[in-house]
Amino acid sequence: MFSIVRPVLRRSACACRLITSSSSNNSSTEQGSGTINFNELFQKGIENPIRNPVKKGLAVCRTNQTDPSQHTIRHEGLYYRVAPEAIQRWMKEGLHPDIYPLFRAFNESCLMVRRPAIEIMECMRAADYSLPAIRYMLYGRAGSGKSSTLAHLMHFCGSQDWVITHVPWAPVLHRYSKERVPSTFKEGRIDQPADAAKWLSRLMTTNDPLLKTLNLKTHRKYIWSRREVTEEGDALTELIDFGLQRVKYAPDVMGAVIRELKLHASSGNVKVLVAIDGVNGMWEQTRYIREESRHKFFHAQELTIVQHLMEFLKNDWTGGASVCTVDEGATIKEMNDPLTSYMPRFLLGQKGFDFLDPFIPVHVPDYSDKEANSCLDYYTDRKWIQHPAGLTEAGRTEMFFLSCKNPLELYKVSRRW
Amino acid sequence: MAASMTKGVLNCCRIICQNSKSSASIYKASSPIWQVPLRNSSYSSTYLEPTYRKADLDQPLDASDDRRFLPIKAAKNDEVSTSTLDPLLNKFIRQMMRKGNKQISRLVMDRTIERIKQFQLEKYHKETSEEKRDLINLEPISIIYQAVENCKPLLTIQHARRGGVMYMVPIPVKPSYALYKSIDWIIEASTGKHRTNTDNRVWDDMAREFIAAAKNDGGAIRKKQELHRLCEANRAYAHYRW
Repeated sequence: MFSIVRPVLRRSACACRLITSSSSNNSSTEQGSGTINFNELFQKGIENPIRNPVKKGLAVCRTNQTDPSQHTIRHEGLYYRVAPEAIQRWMKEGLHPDIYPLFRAFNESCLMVRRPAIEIMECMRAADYSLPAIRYMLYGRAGSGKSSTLAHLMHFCGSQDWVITHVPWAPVLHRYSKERVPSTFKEGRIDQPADAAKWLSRLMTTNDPLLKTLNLKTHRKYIWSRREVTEEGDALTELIDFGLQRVKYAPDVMGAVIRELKLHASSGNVKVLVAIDGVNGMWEQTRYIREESRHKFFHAQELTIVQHLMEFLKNDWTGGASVCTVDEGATIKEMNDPLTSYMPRFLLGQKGFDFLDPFIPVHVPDYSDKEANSCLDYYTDRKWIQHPAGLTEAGRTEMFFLSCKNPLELYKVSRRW
Repeated sequence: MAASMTKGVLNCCRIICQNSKSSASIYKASSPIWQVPLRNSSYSSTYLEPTYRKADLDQPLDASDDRRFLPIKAAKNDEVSTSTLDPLLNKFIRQMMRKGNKQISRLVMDRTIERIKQFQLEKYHKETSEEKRDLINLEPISIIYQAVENCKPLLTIQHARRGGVMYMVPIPVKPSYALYKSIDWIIEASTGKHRTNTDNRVWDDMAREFIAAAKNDGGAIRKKQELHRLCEANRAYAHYRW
């Protein structure tokens, strides 16, 4: 099973997939003859340049297989359409913010099927769920598609009725949380009730119909206060609702829910996917100042939410999997330092690595030739590429050169074209 | 090199002196507002403009071409051989730049183009009838060109003192000033403090401004119309131009 996971080698030779040769020839000659004289243009007033309409592309960049559970290596580099309901459920947060306006503009939301996602899917299909939960770790350069891969995997598991717990961006917990109170449950910890309530509400929205049909029960009695008690055998959704109504207890309810989910997964009632983006933020210093000194900060390990999520990342439970990403943006290490790296060992540090070890590292590389061409084929199909030079072979070469085929950079470059 | 440099400086000085004389003479007759002082150039007048576009570089060089014998200026920072190079966009970026932050200015321009494409594509993909679809302009560059062209003023106001009274005299504009003013109004309309929703990003408002101006609508077009109205009101003083 583990033989599938290996560093992905870039395939050098790839079939040229661009339109038809005649159309590309035409536009290249037009480009060659068009020289611009600045002075003339400014003197006579700049006129609207006339652009010839370009022939429709014939390249294949899509697959009709919209069910991610059926995706295999045959679909590599092709776009599949994600239904709006799936976007609302699993991908409302977590993808790069630039992609949502693009979904709106294209009037559809498509994701590319990529090799790292397929590799993890193959592993998940082959895994034995009576053994401790496997931890997959996505790593790669900034903008190489780690979060998109995570979204694809969430769609994959969600379509097979897994319960999905998603943290779209772990560093948010220790950077921007406004409400912080000392924990009543354990001394020395910090509660973030609003963030915990948000996590609970997200758990409800992502698994709304599923949690009600499964009808999971609690394994023990929880006493919140003298009057508020959750009895043994109450529904799990009731427990979550209690956390949402009494926000004060939300961090502790979160811990209870995680405990219950682990027990249910271990007893085979349900399968659970733990998806955490930027997991290395959980072993970083926070931006929250201590009372005794302005120069001392709390560590993320002192946050209750982080402690609860770490319970989930332990492999003392069965019947599930966890997929995490390590990201350069999630750390507060000095990123200008030339010695920085995007490797898990560097980003997690000694403590984080020791905690998560053993895990399966999966490299998310930049686009291969096939994927990059497929990406531009899709952009051309959706009329995103408007510049006539962008429809030629030379234009593509230029775009690849400028972006190094990094997915995010390729998009940034394509804005101008 | 040093000799040619001093020669160049001297040449420029001479030009400025001549120019200042002529400007002084004009100033007495009527106060010109178009007088642009010449700056010192580090190049002599013998230097040729650089050839940097790939299409130009591919063309063969004649045996008698000046570029074989005369010195050539270094290419400027923004004169690069990309396919997307556009003189108007470069001018816009330069004019939008504040405190030398060209990087930010370029980013705003890129994101503006991105937003224009997004707004237009959203309309395009939602439209069901083919006829209406074809009417939607998807090319951001062509929209920007159209908008700048539409915002160019035909007339402007020049102040003239006659008998102790200041008159507003309408005069025709030069093409370079019209271009400058058009770009200025678009920048002001999309970045000024008068905007209702200041939470909007600059590129959002600028993209909307471009799309509106391409249809003869929006804040920049209104500015142009105000100026034209003022010129129309003061048409009686047009003869004070001389």
